[in-house]
Amino acid sequence: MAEGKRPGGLTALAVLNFVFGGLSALGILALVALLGTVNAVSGGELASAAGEGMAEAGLGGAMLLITICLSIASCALLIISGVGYIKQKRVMGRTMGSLYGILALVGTLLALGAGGDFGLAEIIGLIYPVLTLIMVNTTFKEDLVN
Amino acid sequence: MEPTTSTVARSWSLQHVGIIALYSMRFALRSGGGLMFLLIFLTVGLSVASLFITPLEELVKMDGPDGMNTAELSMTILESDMVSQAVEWITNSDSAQSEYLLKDNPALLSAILLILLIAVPFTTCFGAFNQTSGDIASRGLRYLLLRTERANIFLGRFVGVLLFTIVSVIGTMLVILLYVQFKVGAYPGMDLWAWGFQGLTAVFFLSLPYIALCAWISCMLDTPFGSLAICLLISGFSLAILYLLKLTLITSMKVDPESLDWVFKTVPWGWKYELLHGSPVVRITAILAMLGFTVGFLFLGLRHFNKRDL
Repeated sequence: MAEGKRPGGLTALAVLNFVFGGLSALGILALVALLGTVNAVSGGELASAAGEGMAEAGLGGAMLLITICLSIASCALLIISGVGYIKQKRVMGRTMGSLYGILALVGTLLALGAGGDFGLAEIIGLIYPVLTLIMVNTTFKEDLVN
Repeated sequence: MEPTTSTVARSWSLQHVGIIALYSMRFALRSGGGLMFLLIFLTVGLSVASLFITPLEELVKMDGPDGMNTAELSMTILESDMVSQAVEWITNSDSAQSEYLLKDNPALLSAILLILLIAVPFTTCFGAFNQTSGDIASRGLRYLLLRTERANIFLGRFVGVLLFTIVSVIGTMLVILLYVQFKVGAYPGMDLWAWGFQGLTAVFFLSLPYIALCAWISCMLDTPFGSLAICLLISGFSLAILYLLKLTLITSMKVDPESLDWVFKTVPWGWKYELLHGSPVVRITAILAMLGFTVGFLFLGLRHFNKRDL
């Protein structure tokens, strides 16, 4: 399909990707800045206490690292696929969008596997990734071909 | 004789309405409005459910009152006198009605439905604001007018949005009901699903007049965003105006507040909790009122759509 005939839904999906991607990037930056500041102010004491607290809650260092890596990857995929939707690209839009959806599902499954709880908050968090996964592979499949 | 045959052939047709409705429903997801509505309705519906369920689950996690599980805790809290009074205040009803909502039926689902019904008029606007305005602006309807009558387009789009709304509402309710049944497990399945079905019909009948209102506004304005803004303003501002009117009548003219229940009945909003009433007569009256508002808005919209320049 020609680039000029982009459906409104695809544009809306791209805008939402940029919004969620931007918010996700802000969240990651804020977390890193907060951890850095806390570490600097307390001379490492608060950070080690927080680490012990997380270990007690069952959230080990490896799990924290995986969570942060997944968040960064999701954020990047959201923004890249957003650009892909605008340009109606097959790999950049459909593939990256699908990858984002799969990554979000994998992230939730990993969290559940690590002893996390599955509640309504997790379902709400999965609305957008699942919707993305379905829409880029059905409704907008024929639009993401460039 | 040719024009007469043509006019008869192109008059109001149920088949045309059906075709336009099905196409409109299928096309809804491809348009930005449909996608946003689906996202907003799912998020709002599940957030409202989470508002009631998550605190109960957290209490249980913290080894809450007497080691109760979520089901016992929800029954103990939601069937208490304090919640009963709150429900009476929200629904502006008596103790019999609050007992019907909280004791005769699954209280957790009733609480979710009471809040969800407040959100429905506003969320509905997001799905229904662009029934015709976008195509009027782009002059796209001219191609359709070669094949069918204006009434078929107007009603077809209305039915299409209605079908899309029903599918979205069913999806949201299904997630909530499955969660309450399998995760919370507080109520017998039959009671839960029967009450869920009644809640679903309440949401459906409440959304009807608002979709019709949006159909009317949408055919009046050439800009989809303008249509959304006006639909939301009418849905919200009408309530503020009626509240001020009621307040003025009570304070300045010393009218008995009890005799002013009719004020909010002049808009669909005032009938919403009657859709969940224990008495079938009250429920049917509310349904008829919703249908009446819908027919009224559709009549006004169709009259305007038939006259306007497309």
